[in-house]
Amino acid sequence: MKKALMAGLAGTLLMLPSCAKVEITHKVEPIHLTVDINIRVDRQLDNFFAFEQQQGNKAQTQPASDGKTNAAETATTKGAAR
Amino acid sequence: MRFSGFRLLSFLAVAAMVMGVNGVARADKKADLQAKFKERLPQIGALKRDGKVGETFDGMLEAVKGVTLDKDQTKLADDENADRKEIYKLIAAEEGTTAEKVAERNALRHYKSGKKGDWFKLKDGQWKQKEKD
Repeated sequence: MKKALMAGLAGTLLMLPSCAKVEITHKVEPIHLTVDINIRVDRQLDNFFAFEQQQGNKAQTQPASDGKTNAAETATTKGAAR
Repeated sequence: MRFSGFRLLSFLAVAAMVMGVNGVARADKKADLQAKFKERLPQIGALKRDGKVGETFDGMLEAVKGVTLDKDQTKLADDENADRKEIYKLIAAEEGTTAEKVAERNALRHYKSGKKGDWFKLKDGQWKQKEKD
């Protein structure tokens, strides 16, 4: 009887680490999935809005006005180039 | 047996056609949206540099606190936000996530690519100006 109890206790103790392992797996997986989705979404957004880089770079060199100044500046630049 | 195989093939063919049509429609929609974003970008860039509009934490464009946009500027921001909602939905459907998640990632992308002085609305409702490029 005592041996059976000891064996049962030992068995329970052996099973405890396996339970803990299952818990860790549940914690790690969602993080991995989230990162994966973030990367995929970021890639989609970067591809879709790739034109912003080109147009943005152009816009940065121009002042934020109604465009009249830009035209005047362009004309001046062209004149200087000649 | 032959009939059932034929039915299976028909089903697969119809499914492939539906998926193909959906894919083409989605690509067309994305191209349309992209053209509209491109067209609006210079005006939006100007409003941002003037400190009139900023990017919000949920991927939208909004008038900075204390700024009143005129009719045309308001329409520009509204059109931009309506199209952003559309593209967020399309990307979310393609990637199996939510439009909110895509919007959040886009907000982060805007912050990273934002220039010094650009305005950003944080989750707590506060407006902050970016200090570095």
